[in-house]
Amino acid sequence: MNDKCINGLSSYRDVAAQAGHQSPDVAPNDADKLTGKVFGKRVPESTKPGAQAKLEMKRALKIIAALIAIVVVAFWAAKGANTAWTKNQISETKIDPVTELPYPVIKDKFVPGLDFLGGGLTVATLLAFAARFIRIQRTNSKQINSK
Amino acid sequence: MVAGSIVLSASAAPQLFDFKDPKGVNNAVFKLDAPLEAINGSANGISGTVTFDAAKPGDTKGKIIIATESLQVPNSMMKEHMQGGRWLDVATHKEITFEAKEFKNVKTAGDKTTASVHGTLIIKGVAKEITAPITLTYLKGKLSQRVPKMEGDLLVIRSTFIIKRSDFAINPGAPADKVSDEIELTLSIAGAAPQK
Repeated sequence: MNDKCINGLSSYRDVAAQAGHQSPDVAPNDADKLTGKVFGKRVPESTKPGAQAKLEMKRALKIIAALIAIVVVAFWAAKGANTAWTKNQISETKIDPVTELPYPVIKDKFVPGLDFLGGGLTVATLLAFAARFIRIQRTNSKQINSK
Repeated sequence: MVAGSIVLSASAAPQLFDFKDPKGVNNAVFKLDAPLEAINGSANGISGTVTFDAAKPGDTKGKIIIATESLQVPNSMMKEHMQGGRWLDVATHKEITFEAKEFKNVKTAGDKTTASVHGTLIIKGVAKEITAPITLTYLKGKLSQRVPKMEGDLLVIRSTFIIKRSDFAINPGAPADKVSDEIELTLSIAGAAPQK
């Protein structure tokens, strides 16, 4: 709430003022006029190129963070949800038909582990966290009143 | 009669089995099962010779060598660490060796002999006397099935035993909850004795 009754009519999308069959010096009242002043100041600020770019970057970072998290979890799960370290090789045990000895056959294969999952989710979290720090400057009513 | 006795004495003589395996089947598997992490790997750089007499399996002697560079784990970074100076230091210690000196509790049934083998295990330059259970399987005349056009015999050795990482100065400071102090070693190897 504000002590000047700015946006006293509680308009959510636009700006609203109230006036009946009264002369302009009576209605809209001072609070509605101040609401218009604040709104008028805010529109160019929030639509200037820099603010728009920051807003888009913030949104992009959040989307990228969410995509990274989804892709990392899906890839890890699709590759077998390995709960050990990431593997670059896998081993298959075969049996020699003559000696009946078991022996490992090593093959190159990438199997992501918990370190891959943790690393991916950390990157996603850092991006989402960075998005929170992109601030779009806004002027408050006290600054308007003081001008 | 003379020829028969010559053949008999030849077959009863100790044979030298070579464990260098061109097929790459011979292997040693190691397992470390710590509360937080299990590490499994293998090595296939096996060589060495064993003298075996089918009539006297208790007299078996020999030396098995594992090339430390052939030790493998599934993670490349883990392999680098394992081969590094604090762990196995493969640049300096290129071999793990076991020299069999004495067989005890020898029991033979058919072509299979079980025993306890006593010998010296050297890892990272540290020598320890150990005793391990062992199974020897003598496969007479089976070499040709493995190596075409080469007549001779095979000797299969299987052994599983546990050693302590700290006994051989393999990064003794590493936390035991992540890297187990106990290492289970399983040796599965076959040696060939071609007919001369």
